[in-house]
Amino acid sequence: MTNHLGEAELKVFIDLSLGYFATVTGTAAQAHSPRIEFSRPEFSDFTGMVTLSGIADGCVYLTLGRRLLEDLLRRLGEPDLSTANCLDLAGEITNTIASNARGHFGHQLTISVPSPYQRAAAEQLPLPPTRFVLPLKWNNHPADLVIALRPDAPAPSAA
Amino acid sequence: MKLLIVDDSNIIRRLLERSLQSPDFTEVRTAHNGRQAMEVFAEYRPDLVTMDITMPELDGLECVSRMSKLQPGVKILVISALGDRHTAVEAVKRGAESFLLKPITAEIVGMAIRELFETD
Repeated sequence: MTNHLGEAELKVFIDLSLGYFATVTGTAAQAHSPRIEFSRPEFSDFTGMVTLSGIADGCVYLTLGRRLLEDLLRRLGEPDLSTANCLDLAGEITNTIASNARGHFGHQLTISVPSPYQRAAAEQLPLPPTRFVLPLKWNNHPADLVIALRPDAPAPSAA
Repeated sequence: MKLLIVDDSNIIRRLLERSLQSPDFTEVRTAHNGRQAMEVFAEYRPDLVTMDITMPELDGLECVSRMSKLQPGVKILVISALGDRHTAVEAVKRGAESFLLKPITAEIVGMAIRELFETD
């Protein structure tokens, strides 16, 4: 089995990410040009992460700023904009996107329960060195969707 | 009617509580994992359960099986982001009435609950 996500598989993650914001808020997110990164990863205030196994071995995470999450919480009708709820929402969004992706890949893709992190904790995580990064913008707030596969795998091709 | 909301996300539990505020539901309780859900269920005996699948300790599919055995006829609406056909079929086989795919909105949940009770 090759640990590789091709253009079609990456597009599934991109479409699901954009679809999440459109469905939940009625305001679509925009995707900017994806890139492959090899340098030390940069994290925003909050990160939701799930590990992948099966057709892809690694992890997918969404890293977002506090302002985006607060804005999204308000759209959801949630008055409590605490750090705990920002963490919870970061994990929930990532879990939703990754779990929806399993709808496309079936049991070939296994995903973990989501883990949410604040920036300092995320920076300590041992991550694969090669990452596919999709910059997103929702309601003028930036976020990155990142797919990181283990080093023995070929790098994913940018869509 | 008594409602039990099961989801490991506090945001989703609160969204569902707000979405399902109705005179039809006389009491609402929540649980944040499968094990807690089973404890609450055994004592509370709800009429309707909204159930997440991917949760720590005990997953939602197992909860659906156990709840259906404990209380045949209980209405269970699975609300999960796991969109593969196998999961949805398995949930219904184990006793769920319906399956709603995340992401959700208050409108989507409200409609699904109405449909659930209109089919009676």
